[in-house]
Amino acid sequence: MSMNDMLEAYLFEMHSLLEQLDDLVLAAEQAHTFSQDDVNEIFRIMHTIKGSSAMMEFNSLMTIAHRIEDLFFVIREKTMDAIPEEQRPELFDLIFQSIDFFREEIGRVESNEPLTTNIDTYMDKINSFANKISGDDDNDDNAGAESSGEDNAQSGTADEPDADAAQYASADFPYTIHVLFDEGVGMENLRAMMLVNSARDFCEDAQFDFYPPDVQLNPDTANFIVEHGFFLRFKTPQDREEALPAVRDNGAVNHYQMFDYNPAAGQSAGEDTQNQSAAASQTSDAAAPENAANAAPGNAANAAQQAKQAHVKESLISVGLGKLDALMAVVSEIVITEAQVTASPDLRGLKLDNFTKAARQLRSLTDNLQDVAMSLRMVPVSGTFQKMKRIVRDMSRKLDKEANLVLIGEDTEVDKTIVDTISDPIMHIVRNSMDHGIESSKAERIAAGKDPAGKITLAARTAGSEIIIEIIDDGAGVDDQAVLNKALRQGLAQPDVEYSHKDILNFLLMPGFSTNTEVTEYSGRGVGMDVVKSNVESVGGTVVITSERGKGMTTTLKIPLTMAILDGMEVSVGKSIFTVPISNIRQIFKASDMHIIQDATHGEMIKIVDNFYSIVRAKDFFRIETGADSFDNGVLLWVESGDNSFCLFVDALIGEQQVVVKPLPDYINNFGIKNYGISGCTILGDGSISIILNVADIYQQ
Amino acid sequence: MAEENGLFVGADEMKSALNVQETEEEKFLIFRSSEILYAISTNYVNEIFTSVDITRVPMVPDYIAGVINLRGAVVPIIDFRLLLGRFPEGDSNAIILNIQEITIGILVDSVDQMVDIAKSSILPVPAQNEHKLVSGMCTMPGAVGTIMVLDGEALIHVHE
Repeated sequence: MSMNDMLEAYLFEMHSLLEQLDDLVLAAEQAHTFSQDDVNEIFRIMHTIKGSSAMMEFNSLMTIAHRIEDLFFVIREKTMDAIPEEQRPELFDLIFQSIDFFREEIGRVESNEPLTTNIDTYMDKINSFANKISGDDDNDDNAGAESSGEDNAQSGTADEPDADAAQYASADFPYTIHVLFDEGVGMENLRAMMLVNSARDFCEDAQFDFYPPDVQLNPDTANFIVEHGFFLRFKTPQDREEALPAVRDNGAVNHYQMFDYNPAAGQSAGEDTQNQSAAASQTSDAAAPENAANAAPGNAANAAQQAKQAHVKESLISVGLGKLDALMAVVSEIVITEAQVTASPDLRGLKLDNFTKAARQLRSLTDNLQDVAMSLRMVPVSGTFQKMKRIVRDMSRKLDKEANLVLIGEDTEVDKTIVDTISDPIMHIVRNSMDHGIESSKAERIAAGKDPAGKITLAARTAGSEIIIEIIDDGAGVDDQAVLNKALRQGLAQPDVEYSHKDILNFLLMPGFSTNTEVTEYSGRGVGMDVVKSNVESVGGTVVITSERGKGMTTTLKIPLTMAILDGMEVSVGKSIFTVPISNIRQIFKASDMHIIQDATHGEMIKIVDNFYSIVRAKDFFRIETGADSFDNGVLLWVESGDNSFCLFVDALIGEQQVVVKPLPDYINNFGIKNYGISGCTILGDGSISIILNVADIYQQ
Repeated sequence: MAEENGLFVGADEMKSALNVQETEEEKFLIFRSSEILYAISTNYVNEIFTSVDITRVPMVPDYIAGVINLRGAVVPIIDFRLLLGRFPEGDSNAIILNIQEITIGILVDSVDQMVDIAKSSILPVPAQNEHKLVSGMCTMPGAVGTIMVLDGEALIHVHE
């Protein structure tokens, strides 16, 4: 494991811990108190953050985590009852601020910036709160409290070894330190290696050894260390004494013990352990993971909880997105190759019963494989949705508007890249709803016959191959006139043109538009809904706003579930083959030249039901030499993307096919072909390439 | 589908021959385009196809012949003749190059042979005739003719 891997593991750990913490505190705030479990949990999280950050030498993080850990140590002792009702909001705020601080620092770590060195304001806040709840004379206790746990372990001279531990003593290196790390601290083998390295500073390699011997190279040793601890063994008691400070100061060390090698004791202890484990397995499985060395009194309940957690952890592994992408690429190749093999022209006219049977089997297996590979990239949107809770909470305090966030369909799964891209847009829309949507006073809401507390609903559901995310607020809705006035001022609208309600709502999505005259902390910073629109469109989605004055506003994001595979309609234009996403096709029909309406500028239109739609001839639009010119010899595709709806004229339909989307080489993309709706390509079953058309960009010219 | 040309079969033997006289020599692939001989360093050359199935991409300059499917990878193909303002005549071969991690193919009239050229024999192009794709000129060993040495990096930045 290199430093980079360590950092990655650290960041991953921190992100999940902070998320866990956020959820926990949000829930606790609703309940206006921390349960004792919550307190323990926060204590544990802070302890882990402290330990990991110390190991990575991120001092600001370590110090703050340490302070909060101290604070919760006190709360754990005194229980929440010691904190008067009126001080609790302050405590919640404090934790939220700390979470934000941790996030900021982690952000700095990620972008390789130096960490904050001046953390005094945070420290002061935490300290003053700690003082408040512990009372003045308790304060000293508080400082000592954290170390009291360690004091137990520091008995100075050699102890009687634990039964389990004694097995790992060595005759050659009789003076042993038995180190136990904090439970669940993670990366135990590396932490152990750090102890070894600090021992090397003063001690020759020949003068000591350690067990397990391969901690550096074998990550599996982490499990051993969790179970049995780590053993540093020295030739002389002096060396052992010198090694102690390093062990004592290591943030992740929970507990250590010194003992000397004693052959008789070791043996009998070994038997002991056997008896013990036999007894344990007889009595109950739940007690089994507990080993003698770990069994600090009063820890049993905690340990059971830990064991439960460890179990959950085992069933999940984190895999780099790069590996998944590589897998997906290979699977796509297999799907295509399978089609190439089973539909090979060489087989034409041959009667191959066994081959056909095997080919059918292969097809169903590759389909299966594709589904599984796709599902690996799918993650629930709940992570993104949960983050909004925090935003609504913070904003309702800041703006003094009461609002509740309702989440629907959190379990809906989408491709990981899509989740990442829609997180910011959703956040932006939620902020907008809080800032501009929900009425500024309860009186206004009551007068309008609404619940005094505002409601923002985040709903996700899948429809076909799309995910539909709706952000609904029950606020004041969009004031058409205000929007129009603003659009006129911005030069987005023409004064002498009549705009429909829908047109006006579309102004909201234009660059540089923000109706709020005042720039607030949360919205109106120049980044507007246009960013939402472009983000969503970058993953092939669309944004639609609907609003009714006085009733609220609904923003609907329609996004394809995955960008990797889509259902396409293969069409031909001259010798070229294009793929049009089926999701964009509303209707396919034949028309005759006489149905076509010409306007003065040679634009062509056709009437479908009650509306006129422009016609785009693919042949002319893409400047292709060959292809049908007469409408009698071709097909019209009525396509729609967002509010862009028109008819595309092509020569013929080839057929429907599920295709794997591949980007075009950058070399080609550099020519700005994306502006002409050429967004990617796909390799068809016969190995030829088909260009995928992005309908949204075709008629923008 | 495309089939691979046998040009590289003897490459290993040539390599060992090269080791004997490892003075500042570089191996070049010689190809012909509109009656002119060009050389491109074999460091860039991945493979050569005698025929490829090219898919045209609309809305790009003429000299972009299109893209091909190279074992699942989509590779752009430049028509070298059109790039230099000539018209392709007759058959064409595709040389697949890998330049600065970018895979790109060029269509040329024919692929000639591989030669070792001493770096010292590559002379600068006269300033008045300087073509941005050509980094030097040299006389072919055996005096078959004069070769233009292609600048690979310039090739991938040709549209900038």
